[in-house]
Amino acid sequence: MVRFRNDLEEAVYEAAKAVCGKAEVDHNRTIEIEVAETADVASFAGPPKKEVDVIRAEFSASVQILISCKKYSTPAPPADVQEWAAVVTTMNRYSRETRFLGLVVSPSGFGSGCEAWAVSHNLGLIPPLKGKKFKFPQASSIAMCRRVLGALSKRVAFPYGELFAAPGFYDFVFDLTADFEGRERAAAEGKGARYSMLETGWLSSFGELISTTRDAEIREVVATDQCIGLELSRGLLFLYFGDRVAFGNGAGFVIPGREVTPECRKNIDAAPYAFSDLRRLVIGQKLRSAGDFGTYFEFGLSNDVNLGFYPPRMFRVVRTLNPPEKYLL
Amino acid sequence: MTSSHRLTARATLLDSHGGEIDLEKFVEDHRKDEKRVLADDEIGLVLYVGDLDVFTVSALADPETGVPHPIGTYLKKVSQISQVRFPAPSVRHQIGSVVASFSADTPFLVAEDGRIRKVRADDLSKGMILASGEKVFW
Repeated sequence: MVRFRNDLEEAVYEAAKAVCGKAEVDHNRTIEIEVAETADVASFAGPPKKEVDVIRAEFSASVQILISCKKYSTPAPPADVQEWAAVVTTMNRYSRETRFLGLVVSPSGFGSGCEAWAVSHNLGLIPPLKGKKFKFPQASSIAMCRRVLGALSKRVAFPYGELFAAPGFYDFVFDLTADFEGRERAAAEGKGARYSMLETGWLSSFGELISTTRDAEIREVVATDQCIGLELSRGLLFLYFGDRVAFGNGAGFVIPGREVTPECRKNIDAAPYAFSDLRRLVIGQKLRSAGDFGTYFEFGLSNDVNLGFYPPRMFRVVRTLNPPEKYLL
Repeated sequence: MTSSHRLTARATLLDSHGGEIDLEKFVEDHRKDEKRVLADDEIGLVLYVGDLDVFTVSALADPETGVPHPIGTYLKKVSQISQVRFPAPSVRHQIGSVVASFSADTPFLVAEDGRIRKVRADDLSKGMILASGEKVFW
């Protein structure tokens, strides 16, 4: 039975096991070099050994990663990075066939001075150091770890020599983890929480909604007691819940709620409008533009109509041609 | 983008003949090749392209050595391409004679008191001198 020092170590171990099929976790493990036949490693105590807590995972017959997990309430000090640098450097220098990459995971971050040691000794750091005091939650550090290990398992299928030349692996890890900052900021500011992807539940953004739905054709208008929305060509679905928007591939997605006839309004004076008329007006039209006005959402359609979604579940259509009084619906 | 790609918010990519690559089409074509997809998740897409002779170009000097490219632009081979779902905001600066947009988290090497330190694009300020010798005007 595998025993873990803490939940961080367990999560990183599970990530490594999921990617590599097999991973080992060792506490107070004495790791030894493979080649101990030269004078430069001879000592009165025998060949170099080091007792460490390590998660080890194998990516190919000749590439292994050594992961050090540091669960602190304060940033990890440079000494932790220096120690891991010494371990990985020595393991590589006296290795017969296996080449080792080193990774240090410290959700509380890294103290001043860690970066230079990691760069010069080619260690990956999770979370990345980005020059701002920005704290990632532990769950994000674990997600970063999963992403890095998954990417590395594919990367070693191509020539990988550059990963072993400093700062190749440091950069590889940085590139794969740096963009978590944008996601964390979106979540923290509540921007991302307004948009989500249907099929995955991932946070999303207005920009991604536009790029996903641009030029899609309206196939049906949806209204339930929980949301209103559109069924679109390319199998897409757009759902408006008042305070949030979900969109994406609608295949197999069950629209929540009981079907209802929604309230519909038309023109600037918001006169009542029949749902059947609204359907006739918008079905078959393409999405040309969109606007999120905070309190309501609007699509611009190919027939010069703006289709608005108002909380809690109301549609409103307006012709965009001038003069408005001449083009009333 | 890779660290070398973080030079600009909208990197220009070139093929081995110097022709500009349509990034969207290039990504769509190569994301079908599953072994190239290093990551495709909530953060975004990362493609390995190190064997495809793709280069990035910048009007600034080599960020590592400070050496300008002989034809006046700096070229570097690209190993990975990322499409980010939550990109960092862009900032604009004039560095040397170049006015360009940069991702806010682009690291620059700045020379200061005989030492070099990293500074993010959103922390660059007027008067700073990059390790390449180029001056930040604004």
